[in-house]
Amino acid sequence: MSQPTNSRGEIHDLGYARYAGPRRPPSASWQVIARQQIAFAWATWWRWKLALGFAVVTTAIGAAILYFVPGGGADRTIAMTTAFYRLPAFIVTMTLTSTLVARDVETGAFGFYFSRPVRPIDYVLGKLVGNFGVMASLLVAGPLLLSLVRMAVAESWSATQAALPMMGVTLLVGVVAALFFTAVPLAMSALLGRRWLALGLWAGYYVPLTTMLAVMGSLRWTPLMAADPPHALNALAFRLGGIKFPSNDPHPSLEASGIALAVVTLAALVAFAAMVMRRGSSSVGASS
Amino acid sequence: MTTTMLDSRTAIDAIGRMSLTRLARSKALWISAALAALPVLAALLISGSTKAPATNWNMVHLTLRLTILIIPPLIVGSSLADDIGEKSAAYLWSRALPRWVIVAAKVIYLVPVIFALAAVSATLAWVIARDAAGVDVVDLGRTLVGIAATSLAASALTVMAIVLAPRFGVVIALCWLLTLDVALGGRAMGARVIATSFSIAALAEGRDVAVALVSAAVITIGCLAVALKRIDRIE
Amino acid sequence: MTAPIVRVTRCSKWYGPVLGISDISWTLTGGVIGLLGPNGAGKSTLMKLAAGLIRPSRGTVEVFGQAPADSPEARRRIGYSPEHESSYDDLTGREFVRFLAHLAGVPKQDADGAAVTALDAMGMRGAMDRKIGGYSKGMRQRTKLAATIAHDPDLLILDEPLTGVDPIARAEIIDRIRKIAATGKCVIVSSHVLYEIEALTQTILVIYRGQVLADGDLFAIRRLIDHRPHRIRIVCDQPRVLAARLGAAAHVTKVEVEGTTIAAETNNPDACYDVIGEAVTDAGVKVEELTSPDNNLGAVFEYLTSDGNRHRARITE
Repeated sequence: MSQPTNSRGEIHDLGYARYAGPRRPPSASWQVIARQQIAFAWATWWRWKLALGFAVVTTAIGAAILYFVPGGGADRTIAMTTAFYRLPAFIVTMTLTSTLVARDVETGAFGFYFSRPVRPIDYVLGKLVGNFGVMASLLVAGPLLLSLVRMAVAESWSATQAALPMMGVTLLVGVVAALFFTAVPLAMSALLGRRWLALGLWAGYYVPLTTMLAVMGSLRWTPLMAADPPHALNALAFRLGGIKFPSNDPHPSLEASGIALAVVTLAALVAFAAMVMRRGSSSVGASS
Repeated sequence: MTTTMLDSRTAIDAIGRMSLTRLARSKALWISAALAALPVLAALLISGSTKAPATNWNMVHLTLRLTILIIPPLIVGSSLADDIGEKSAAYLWSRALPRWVIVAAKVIYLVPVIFALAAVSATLAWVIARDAAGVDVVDLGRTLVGIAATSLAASALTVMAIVLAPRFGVVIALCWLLTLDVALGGRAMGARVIATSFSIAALAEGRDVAVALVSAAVITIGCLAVALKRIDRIE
Repeated sequence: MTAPIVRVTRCSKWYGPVLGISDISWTLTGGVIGLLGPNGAGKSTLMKLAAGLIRPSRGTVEVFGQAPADSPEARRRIGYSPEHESSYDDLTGREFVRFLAHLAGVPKQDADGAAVTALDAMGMRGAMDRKIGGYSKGMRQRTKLAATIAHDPDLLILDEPLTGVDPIARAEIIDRIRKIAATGKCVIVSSHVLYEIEALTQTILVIYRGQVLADGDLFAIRRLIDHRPHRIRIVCDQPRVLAARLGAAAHVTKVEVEGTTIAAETNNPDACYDVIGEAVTDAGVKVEELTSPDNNLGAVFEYLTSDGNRHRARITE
């Protein structure tokens, strides 16, 4: 059908202008995802803020104790107090980390991610970095602050210097703990595409399974206790800091604890990456 | 076509059977079964132990107690959350039945499954570990009663949590049961503590079994009452 | 006078600070009514109130004389199809529809038959024994509709029933809904695809920002929108003759001629048609085509909801 010779056309300016500014490269996608993870965790009072509040209170109490406890007991105080940060960290894994990837699968968010120039590795890195930041705020920041307080209230410069190694220990143990509490729940979340199942699996691993292994280890074979993350982290903190354990109960060795944590965390990282690659390359939602 | 008002019993039966069908097809059952196998694994591990029998049995019982706290949110929680927490609530709530039958169906049909899983686990663990743990059939009976009470109380807690917060009830229930239950619930009121009342160590401490039974009943009735009252208000 | 099937009386609903609907009063006595409105207007809220899923914050909603949220008996006679497509992915279509039919009051021994009949009517017989998790969007939609009609309800409330459905199935479903309505059932249907509503009914209820903007017969509503002249398009063999006659009529506000086509605007379409008729009989004008481009639901909807058109149209029967 030919166009009439006197046809008119008009384009109206609706004020829309195509974005002409700089664009970030796709390789920076993980940073966007990481920031979004932190913003998501921060958005509600019960996902992260509540746990953070608990950690702040723990730090305040620990700092108060350090002020009054003489130098010899300070290292042990720090090492014991770090155990208290694992409770808010566990709660954050329940309210946030262990359901994250499953939530993305259930809501179809994978389709949004991978229809953009986002590679599976960007998604993995972004989730890990973002959630590591959340965990580090609980497991690294608090103990580190306590170490600083300990150094600040030291009676002499030499006492302050003597406290430096413990700061290194708390930093290392905190980072290892944060890595564990990030990688393992994320892996379980990626493994099961349903939130409640991922949550149940993580809770089942962290509470009854590892507790059972710790208890059995104390009865039969002490290195088995390292399979329980709290025992392994405690062992790391006390043994690296050269601190005497508060009780005569068996404790795993430094080597067993380090190996157990490394193996579980690495396995979780690999599993997480593999599951995301698989989901990202296969169907990302119901067919239409 | 002639339709009739479904009586509550028939509605509960229909919803309950459907919940069982869906449970059988879901991974929740397999994960729960895997968790329920942990006490059996514990029993195998202590079977050659030279520690005191009471210590051995307490280790197995500890694993059983921790496991029984996770399974109700996984089974009852995920099933109820699917029906009222997600958008599929529209299907059930637009039907000619009162909402409380949904809760009743979940509890009546799914709690026995939880109990069955835990009971099989406890029985197997007892069979394997009875010599090393020095436990007799009376101890097993006490454990089974404790499992029943805990299954019911934990399920009721979970149901209430989901009705009060449909989107996050499972998380709330699990967090409560695994962390705050002992700290805030007090010796007699926490679901986990109910179960410990049936352990040998607790009995050896002289803890009152009757009080624990009453606690279980109070928690169950209280939580279900809140849930049944509140469910009509969910939108 | 027929007892109303749905009666909404000064009903408001808000979700926290967000207003769903505001002070709506409306009565439905039967037939098919199309519920229209922009996104967020309050259509789904009104439908959920009628289906008994939510309670009004203020005012009352009655279906078959009872508050549906509190009356299982009222809900027994309602078939509600929600907008979303969530369903039980681990069940087959047949299991899903059978289960919901049974819960709606179909006796257990008849529920499977009712489910199969409904699924067949929706073109899902071949796939009904497959799990819903493997269905396409359109198949899920059709399964959902089957669940809605399986128990033969007296009132159907269909929220965006044709979303995701392919054109052939869409025509079949529209035909099915018409047949259901012809048996005396009442149907409330919402859609953003206006020609689908037009295919079903001329009776509409337009919701805008939580309030009823217009309700009644589509063409009667159109007549009330008098500040928007009706457009009429005529193709004939003597356009200038006919244009001259139209231009002379007081009610005609604009006439444009382009080739053999006349585009006229009038405040009184009936009088305009009389002028055209006279031109045919007196001047022998041969009219090849006569249409009214804006005498349709799309134009009415646009006029009612565009800025500057804030008035209510109410048709009393």
